[in-house]
Amino acid sequence: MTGRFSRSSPDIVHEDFDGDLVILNLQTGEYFGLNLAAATLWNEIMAGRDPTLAAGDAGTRFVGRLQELGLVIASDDPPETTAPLSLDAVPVVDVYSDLSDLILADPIHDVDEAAGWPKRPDEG
Amino acid sequence: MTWMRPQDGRSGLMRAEARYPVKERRIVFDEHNLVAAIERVLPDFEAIWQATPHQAEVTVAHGRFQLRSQHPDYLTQASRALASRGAPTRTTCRIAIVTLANPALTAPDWPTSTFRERPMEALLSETPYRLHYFPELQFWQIYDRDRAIGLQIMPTHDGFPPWDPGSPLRNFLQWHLGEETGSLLHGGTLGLGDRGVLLAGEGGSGKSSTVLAGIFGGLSSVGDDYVYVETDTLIARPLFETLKQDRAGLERLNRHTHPAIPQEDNWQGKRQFYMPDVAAWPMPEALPLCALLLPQITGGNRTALAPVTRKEAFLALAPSGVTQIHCDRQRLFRIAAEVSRQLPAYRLTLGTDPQEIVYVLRRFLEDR
Repeated sequence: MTGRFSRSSPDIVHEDFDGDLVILNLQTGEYFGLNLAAATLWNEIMAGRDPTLAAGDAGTRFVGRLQELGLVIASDDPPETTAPLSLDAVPVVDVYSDLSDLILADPIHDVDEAAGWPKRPDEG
Repeated sequence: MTWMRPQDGRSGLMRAEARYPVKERRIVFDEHNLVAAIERVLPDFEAIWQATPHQAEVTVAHGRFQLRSQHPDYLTQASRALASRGAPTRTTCRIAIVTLANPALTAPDWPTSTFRERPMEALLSETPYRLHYFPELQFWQIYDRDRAIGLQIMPTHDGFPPWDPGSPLRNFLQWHLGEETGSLLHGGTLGLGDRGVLLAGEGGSGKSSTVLAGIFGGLSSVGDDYVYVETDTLIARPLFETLKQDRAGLERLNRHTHPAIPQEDNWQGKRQFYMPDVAAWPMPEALPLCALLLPQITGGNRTALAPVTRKEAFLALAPSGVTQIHCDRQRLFRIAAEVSRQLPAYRLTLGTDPQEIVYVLRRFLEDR
C-alpha cells in the first residue's frame, strides 16, 4: 500500500488545533481526533506525499487505518517527493463515536430537584 | 462542480403543468433531480408571497427578515421568539410560510425510502440552494441564497417540529446570515459590561441553567441556546429571546412562580419563556466575547475554572450545532474552529449554588 492518497470526498473536512487535528466526515457525521504524529502524516497525505515512504511501517498502518475509516482513498496520480519523517509518537486516530450525529442536543432536565442544582438526572 | 442558473426559471414542463388542476401540481424529489426539483418549486414564490395575507418583519443580527404566512398564529409565535433588535444592514430575506395545500404551490414530495439527508446536502453545497426536509412531518425549508427567498412548507398550519417555537426559522437564519466570518453557533452567553463568555456543551451540561442563573443574578446575555458569532470581531449577537428551564431548576432559582413563566411544560418537559419578560433590564444588541467556557456538572459544591485545550473546546462547541443546523454544516464546523482557536477556553465545573456560580462568573468577567 504505497503511493498517493487523497480525501475520499470533499465532505472530509479537518481543522488544526495547535498541531492536533479534528476531522469530520460531513456525510456520516463522524468525528475523528488525530494526535500530533497522526496529524503530521495526515498533512503529508494532503500535500500529495506518500506517508509510507515518509514514515515506513507507521505510515503504512496509518494509511490502512484511514482507509478503513473511509477518510482517504488511493489516487492514480504519482506522489510528490518526500523526505523521511521522524515521528515522536505512535500516530493515533481516535473515533469520537459519542459525537456522531447527535440526534437531539438539548435533552430533558438539566436539573435534579432532590440532588442539588444543577445535576444530571441520571446521576445516582 | 460549477452551478449555473438556467436562463428561464420555469421549464416548459412547468408552463404546461400550470394548465393542470391544482392537485396535479406535485413534484417528486430524488437525488438525481434535486436541483431541477427545487427550480420547479421556487418559481411559485412570488405568487405565493403576493397571495399570503399575514406578514411580520424582524431584524435579527442586522438581517431584515420579512415573513408572510397563511395563518397569523405562526407569525405571532415566531416574532415573540426571534430577537429583533437594531437596524438592518444586510439584504432583506423574504420567507413565506405555507401549507402543502396552498393552491399556488407546486407541492414537493420526497418518499422516505429514497431520502438521504447528508448526500442531499452534499449535492446542494455548490449551488445557491439550501434545503431541509423532515420526512416524518413532511416539513420543508427551501432557500435560494441568490434571491434571499425561502419557503417553509408544512402539512398543516401548525405542522412544525416541536422545537420550532423556541428557535423558529433557525435554518433560514443560518442560510441568510452565514458568511465567511460569521455563523450561528450552539451556545449560551453571559456578559458583564462589554465582556462576555460563550458557554458550550451538550444538553445536560448545565449550560442553560448557568445562563438563567446569570440573567437572574444581574449578568447580561444575548442568548441561551443559539447566537450569531462573528470571527473577525468575536462579537456574539442575539437570535432568539427564548429561555428554557424545567420546574426544578426554576425552583432552585426561586423563579417558579414568576408571572411571565408558564406552568405548562414544552416538548422537552421544560418551561419556555422569553428574556425580555424576566430580565431586569434590556439585554444588549451585541456581546464581545473574551472566553469560551465548557460547563460541567460534577456534583461538587464549589464552582471552579480550569484551562482546557483548544481541541477540547472545539469538540464541545462544534458537534451539536453542526448536527442541528442543516445544509451549512461545513461553515459551522469552520467557524466553530476559528472561535475555538481565538478564545481562551476553560472548563467551568459547576457548584450547586446558583448564586455562587454567578459570583465566580462575575469575578472571572471582571478580571478579563
